[in-house]
Amino acid sequence: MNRWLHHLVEPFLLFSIVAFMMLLVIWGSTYFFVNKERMLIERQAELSVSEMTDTYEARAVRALREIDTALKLVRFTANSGNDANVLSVLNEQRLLPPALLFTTSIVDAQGMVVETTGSGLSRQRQTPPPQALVGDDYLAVWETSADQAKQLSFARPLMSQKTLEEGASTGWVVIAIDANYFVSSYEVGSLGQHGMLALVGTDGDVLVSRTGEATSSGELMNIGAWKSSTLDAVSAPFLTHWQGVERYTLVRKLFNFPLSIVVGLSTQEQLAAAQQLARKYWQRAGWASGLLLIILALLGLSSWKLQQAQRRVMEERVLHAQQVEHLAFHDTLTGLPNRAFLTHLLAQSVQLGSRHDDAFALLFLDLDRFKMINDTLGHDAGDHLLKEAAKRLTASVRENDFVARLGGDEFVIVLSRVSRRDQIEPIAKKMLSAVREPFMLAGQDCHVSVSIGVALYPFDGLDEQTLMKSADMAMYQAKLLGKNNVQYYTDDLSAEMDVRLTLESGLHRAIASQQFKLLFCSKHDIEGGSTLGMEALLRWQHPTLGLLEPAEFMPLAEESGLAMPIGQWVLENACRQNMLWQHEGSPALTMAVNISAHQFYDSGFVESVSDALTTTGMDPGLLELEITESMLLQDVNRTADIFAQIKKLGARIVVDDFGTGYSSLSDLNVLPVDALKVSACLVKRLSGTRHEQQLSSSVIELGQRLSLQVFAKGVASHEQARFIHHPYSEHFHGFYSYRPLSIEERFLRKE
Amino acid sequence: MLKYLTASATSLLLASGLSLFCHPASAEVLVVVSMEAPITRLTLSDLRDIYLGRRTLIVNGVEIVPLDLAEGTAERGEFYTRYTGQTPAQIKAHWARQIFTGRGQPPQALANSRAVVERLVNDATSLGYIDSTFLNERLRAVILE
Repeated sequence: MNRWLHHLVEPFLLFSIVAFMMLLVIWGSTYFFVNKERMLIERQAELSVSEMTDTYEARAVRALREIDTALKLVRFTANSGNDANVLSVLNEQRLLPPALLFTTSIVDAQGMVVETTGSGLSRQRQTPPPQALVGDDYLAVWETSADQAKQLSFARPLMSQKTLEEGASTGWVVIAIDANYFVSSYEVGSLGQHGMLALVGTDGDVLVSRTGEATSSGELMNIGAWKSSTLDAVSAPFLTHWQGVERYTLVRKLFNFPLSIVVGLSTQEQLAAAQQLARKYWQRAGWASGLLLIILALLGLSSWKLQQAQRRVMEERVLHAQQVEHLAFHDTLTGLPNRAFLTHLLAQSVQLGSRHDDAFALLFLDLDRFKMINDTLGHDAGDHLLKEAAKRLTASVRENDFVARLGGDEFVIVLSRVSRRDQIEPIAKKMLSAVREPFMLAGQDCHVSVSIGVALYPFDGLDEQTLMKSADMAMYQAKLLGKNNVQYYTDDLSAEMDVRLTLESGLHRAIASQQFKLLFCSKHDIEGGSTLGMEALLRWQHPTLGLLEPAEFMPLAEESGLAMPIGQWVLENACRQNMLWQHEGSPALTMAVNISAHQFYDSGFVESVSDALTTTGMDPGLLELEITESMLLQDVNRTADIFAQIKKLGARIVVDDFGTGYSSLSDLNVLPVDALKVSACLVKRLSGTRHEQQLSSSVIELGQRLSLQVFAKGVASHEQARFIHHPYSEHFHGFYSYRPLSIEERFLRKE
Repeated sequence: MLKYLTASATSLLLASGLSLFCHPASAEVLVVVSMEAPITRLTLSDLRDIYLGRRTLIVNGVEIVPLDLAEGTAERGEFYTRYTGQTPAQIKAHWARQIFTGRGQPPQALANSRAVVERLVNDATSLGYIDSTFLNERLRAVILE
């Protein structure tokens, strides 16, 4: 319905309909008026035919009566006297019809003219009437011809009826009159050029008829078939065709005479005016229609143009709105859907997924080295990288999937209709390899990788937020696992992440709220078992998670930039504790502190060490800085430089966990290392198989050859006595206790 | 054309000469009344109307009745041609229509000019036309204007 209405508003259709309806009105009303006019004129014609018939009837009857009266008068006069010149006498008295037109004669039984008003007819033979009038007295009417003019003769027998009955022969009184006399009342003004007046005999033979100026007679008119009317009856004219002319016609039988009259009006003549009027009307209708069509065409055209203009404006608006919408929902740099659009798309995907029981995957991507490239090569290069990466990612996914940019170097990809890892794996691999292809940035090839975290709907989340969080966690895991790989969300990951979050939030407050504490391992002499020194070990007494080891929170601390403050705290507190013990009367023990790689390479490291020594006032020779073997290898020159500065302070350097890495012997030789701590597993192997024993011994011997002090790590307290007397103990200068103790425990032990 | 036709001989001659131009073969016809008749002059249109039955001429309360001549006489043809501009056949058709429609009767027709003269001599209420040769002292030619 609405579609229809909409189409109605289309100017072409609208104006067509209006034009059609107006044309219908114009032509309909014209037809109506023309028809009405025609009917009016027909009615008038019929009326005038009736009137003319009445008039003509009256005149014809009167004329006939006059003739009959004259006949009777002549007979009466002839019968009443013996005057030979009956007609002369009567004519003198002006009792006969005017001789100018009427020829009155008396004829004897033999047909000889006895007396006449017509000149030159006297004593001539007159043709008798066609009917033998024997036995009756009535009027005879017949046609005669005189001087080529058609005449009608009327006759009555001279003798009375009684005489006739006696069989005596008798003569006639005859009046002849030009036939045209009976149609002389024809007037062109009222009857037209093709009207008709006619006097017809009982058999339908035309005695005389007139049309225009032409008269004729002798034809046979089939008036019997025509509807004849009497004066009493309602005279309704009817249509006749006579000699090629159609007429409104009335036929009327004359009273007391064996004659009928016919009056006709040519339909064509009568309707000529109506037809002319109709022509005029039709012509006007034509003009009006033409004008109407032109006006409507012009109106339609302008309306169409207006609509076109409006449509153009609307289209421009829509286009503008679309552009605005596109801007609102797309990233301007890459043209990919933005976060807002992604939210919408994800909501849709979730809705569809829940309705159709469909699964889909949400991939969270992060370019691994983007920040570095952005910083070193400039923002233009960064933008170019993002654009190119977006292009490659889009090319890597299927047609139904979509790629969105969250901002920065983060992308989200939704893979529709996947539910298993083996479906996602090839696509993810494809993306990894696509990004690994070198990027041409600022004129040089750059190698970038991407870390991908995957969350699956509905397994890893039922709403957008959860899914995003899950994928983000997986991505984070991928980053942790060395980047350039794909990780899937698991519930464990979530748990880890929860812990991480807890830790992260707590870490900042940990120093201020004194949640860190130090545990101490003791270092013993191999021969007497006497205590040589202490190793400070950092612990975090977390309010909810309990006692945490550095491995659990230090990576986080490093990320949060808390590694240095914590390291500083450890150094200071270790030194302070050592001084405390000395004040309490203990002998001066060495204090070992573990240094993380992050801390070691920090520019403020050496300064922090000297600060700690200065504030606590501890003898630098008592401080042992423990560096892991792997740290030695990262940057030998830098390590050597830092080592040199430390030595200048007077502190000792100990390599921790010796034997686990693959230290370059030459490097070890160059660096000013004071002691080695052999890892606990290597110490354990000394009591293992022969092969293991040999391997461990050679490592330990190597340390000795480098003229370093070698200590064993992780010797439990109940083993200590046994360890000391063990054959291989000779290799060690000492050992560290396995279990670290807090200050309070140590105090109790002493007691 | 014959606006000032008079009874005098000179004017008659003039009139005859002029009329010859139109009707070379016709005889001279005069419209006449009795010397006692109250009428001396008539307009041509009155004359035509009287003879065609379109009006009756009443002078001093007396009807002046027109007299015609029988069909076929020379004077009749001349009279109607000159004063009505119609042929005898047209006159006949005219009277046929008049009679049939009941509008009038033709004037009484007398056999010849002589009969008209005899009638007019005794009847001051009639009007007739005659061959000019029949004019006598008891008749008066009507001045037509």
